[in-house]
Amino acid sequence: CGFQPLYQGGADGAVRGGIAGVEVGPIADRLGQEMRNRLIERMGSGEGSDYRLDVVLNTETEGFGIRSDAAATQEQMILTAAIRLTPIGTDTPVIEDTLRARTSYDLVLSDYATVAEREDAARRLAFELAERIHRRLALYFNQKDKEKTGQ
Amino acid sequence: QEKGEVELSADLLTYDADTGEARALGRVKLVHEGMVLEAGEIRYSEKTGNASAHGAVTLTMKDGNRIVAPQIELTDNLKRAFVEDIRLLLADGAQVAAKSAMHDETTGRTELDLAVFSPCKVCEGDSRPPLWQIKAVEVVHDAGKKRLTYRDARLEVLGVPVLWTPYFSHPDPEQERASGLLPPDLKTTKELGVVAAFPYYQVFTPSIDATLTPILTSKEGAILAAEYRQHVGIGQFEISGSATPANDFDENGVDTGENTVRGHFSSEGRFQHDSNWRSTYQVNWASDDTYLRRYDFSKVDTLISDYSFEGFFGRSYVAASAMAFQGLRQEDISGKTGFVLPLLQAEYVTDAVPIGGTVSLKANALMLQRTDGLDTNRLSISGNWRRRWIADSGFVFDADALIRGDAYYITDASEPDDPDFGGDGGTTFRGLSRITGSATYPLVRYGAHGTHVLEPILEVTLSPARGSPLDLVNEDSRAFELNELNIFSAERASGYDLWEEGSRVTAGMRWRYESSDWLSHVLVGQAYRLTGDGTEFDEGTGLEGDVSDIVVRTLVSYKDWLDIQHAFRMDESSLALRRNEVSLRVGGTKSAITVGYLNLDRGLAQFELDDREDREELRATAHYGITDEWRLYGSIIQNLTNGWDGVEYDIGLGYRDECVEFSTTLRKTYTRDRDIDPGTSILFRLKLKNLG
Amino acid sequence: AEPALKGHDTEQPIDITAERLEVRQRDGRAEFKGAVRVVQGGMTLTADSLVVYYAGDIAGGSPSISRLDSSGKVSLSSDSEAVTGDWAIYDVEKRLVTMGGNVVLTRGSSRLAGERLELDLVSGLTRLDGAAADDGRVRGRFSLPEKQPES
Repeated sequence: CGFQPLYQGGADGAVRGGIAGVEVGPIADRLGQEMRNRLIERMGSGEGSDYRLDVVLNTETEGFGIRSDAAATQEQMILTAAIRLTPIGTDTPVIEDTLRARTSYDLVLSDYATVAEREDAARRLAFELAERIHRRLALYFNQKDKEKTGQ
Repeated sequence: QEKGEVELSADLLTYDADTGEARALGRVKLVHEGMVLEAGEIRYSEKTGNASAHGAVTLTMKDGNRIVAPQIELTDNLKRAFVEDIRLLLADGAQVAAKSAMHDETTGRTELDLAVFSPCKVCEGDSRPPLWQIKAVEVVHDAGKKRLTYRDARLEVLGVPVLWTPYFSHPDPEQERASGLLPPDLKTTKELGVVAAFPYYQVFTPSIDATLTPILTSKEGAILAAEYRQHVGIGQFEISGSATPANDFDENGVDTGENTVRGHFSSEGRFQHDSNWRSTYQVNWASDDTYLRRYDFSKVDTLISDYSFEGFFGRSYVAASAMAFQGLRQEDISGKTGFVLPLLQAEYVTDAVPIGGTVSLKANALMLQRTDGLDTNRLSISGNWRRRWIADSGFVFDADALIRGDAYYITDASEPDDPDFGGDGGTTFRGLSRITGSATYPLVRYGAHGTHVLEPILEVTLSPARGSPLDLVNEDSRAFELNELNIFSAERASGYDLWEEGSRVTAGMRWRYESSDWLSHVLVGQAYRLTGDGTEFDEGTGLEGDVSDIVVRTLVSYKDWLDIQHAFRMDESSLALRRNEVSLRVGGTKSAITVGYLNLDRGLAQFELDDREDREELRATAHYGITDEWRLYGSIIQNLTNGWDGVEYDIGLGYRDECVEFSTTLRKTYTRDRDIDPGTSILFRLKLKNLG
Repeated sequence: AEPALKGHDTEQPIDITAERLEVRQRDGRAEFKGAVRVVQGGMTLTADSLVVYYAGDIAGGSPSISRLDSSGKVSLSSDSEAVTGDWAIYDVEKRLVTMGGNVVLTRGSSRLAGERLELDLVSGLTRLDGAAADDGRVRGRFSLPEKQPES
């Protein structure tokens, strides 16, 4: 039905090769570092010299589920990642996009538990965006390979 | 054009050589050393060096400020201008009109008598009075110091005199950072009545400035707020606070007759010591629970103060931090609120890549103390190996192995802040381990308009049936719930204390379609427990028992103006919706409608405290840009848990242009919190802009 | 400097020299061509060609000249100022000089430029009009007097 594997050719496939040539720039704060670590793990070395991936993260939280005394019982968090993939040596990006991921969690009585929950939610959102960035790069290199081989 | 020369151009010029008098008529333009005089007619005398201009005269000075008047006399080699009923138009649109004025080009001073200043852009021939203006007996504009000084001045809003002052000075609007009065800020709130704030901005040095803001309120007297900002070589910090005298109430709200001071203090800073090490801190404190909300500073429920000293070394990290809280909700008991002193974290990611996988060694030590309650001290050491293979066939395999050792030392175990999360006193050890393997098979199909990516997911985790002692404390995973972010994760719990026992299998599917206009994304997953009884998860979190709830998330967005997200969790047997959240956004930037629906039917309420009870809420906001300046906005929050109870309604009209910003809002609230009562209020807010 | 042309006596004899002279007695016209030079008292006019309208007998040496039309690099000068233009008409009876075609008047350090100039020899008043070519503009450059004591 027209579906074919995204990572055709496995380790030495065009997609895998393309991704291995990407260097992941530093991303701010501990959350950025954890996301960069996960990206490097998924993409192979992350020290490639053909492309450079830049990511800027931004977290927004908003309370809802308002109680009768106006206190919030739920909190929504939206993590936005502005990504840019630029061939090294040029400064015109081939991918420039903003990815957004949302989650929500309970605000519990214990403040420390809420802080732990908030940090865990941010980390999981960052890992989800790292996965989506990885897929996005795979799609880009897959299409590039397709154009090259004229399929 | 040499220094001492005047250039005239006109439709018609007569020149009397005898008197040295030139008379120019018709769109006359006189240019002299950067100053341009335009008028219907200009007479210039070579002998005296004076010029007089008549008929819609505009004198544009070198710095861009313009004088507009029916007639201008220029004397002293065109250096001094005497003008009758003048309008001085400053470069950025602000203007001063006056009965008469004297401008001196050498000193750059313009003295205007019986003058009116307004920052609003007033186009020529616009007779409506500007929204607000300052009238004064004398105004001096000093182009050199870029300041406007008034003598005997009166502030008028919509023609109504509001304030009088003998002397008043503020920086010329073009001046960015100069000390002086900032535009006043007027508003009304239900608790404070009419509120007028008069911020004064003071620049001490290029890296230090402060703002002092006296705030006058009709119902609660005066409040003094202040803000201090400083840039130091390696970073910057900010201190702000406020204080107000108020009458003292005891716990059950009876006025004790004495008065006390209510206020708040907050500060935050970041310092980059060197390329690896940095510290950040924030401090937030309020004199009592409702001060910040009652005096309209902020609506936050908990004040967090923390300090962390972090080291970044490539992929490795080390940090020491401390954290304290001030709970502002009625049920927060400070003695039971834990504070963190310290939290030590370290992660070392080896460059070595054993069997092609990444190894990360982690250590995490927490001392969570309570002034009169259970103290938890925990030390966790763990080693983690992860690797990803991509097979020729396109399968993606991820392997993830972990061993971890925890040591707990609990004191005052008899006084937990929440009995459901307490634990035995004394020392407890536990050793934990798991091996997780996951396989996904992403398939892509390039359709005519967009691409489909279909990704079946299967994950297996092997782990001993029972790793933790039965009655272990839980401090950092009290808000756990199964959702689309943790369903496929090797460790679903959000903290260290809660550990998922036993082996389990998770299966699911991710489908993603992307075209130029459409983006849609569906994810489904469910977990099956092989060993262990799943009792570490409370009933209602979705992971209890052998079969987990079914987790689904769908997302559909069309171009950039429609965005629908629906995340829900269905009971594995009854398929009843345990958690159901819909968020919808329609519209662009100028006008948009957002709707949020939440329905919790989790039966978690066996807790004594009501912080995870079931609830149903509908909230919506809308804003409509009538014109570039006018905006209509509204929002409602509706609590549907038992019936159709309102929480808060807002509807308002806002206007914003380059010189003023005001809004009126009708707000109805149903919430009550100690000295903040429900009720209807009409809120008004006026902000005068561009006053330097 | 006292303007020389103010109150210029137009009755003084007019002395005309040129390379060639054609006289049309019947029309009362005389055409001079080539390095034409006209002198009357303190005023001198030079041009490429000149047509003189007169009554009476030119040969007898005492014709009464009513008008002089000159064209081609015309320049009119006196002790205090000089005017150049493409053409000039000196109407002796009306005691008025009209010049046209990128007219430039220089007097001391002042300089006026326009398309059409009228110099009233009685009052010494100069009237300068703009031309369609330069969107009808007249331009004048004047000098500022030295710093006078505060008047």
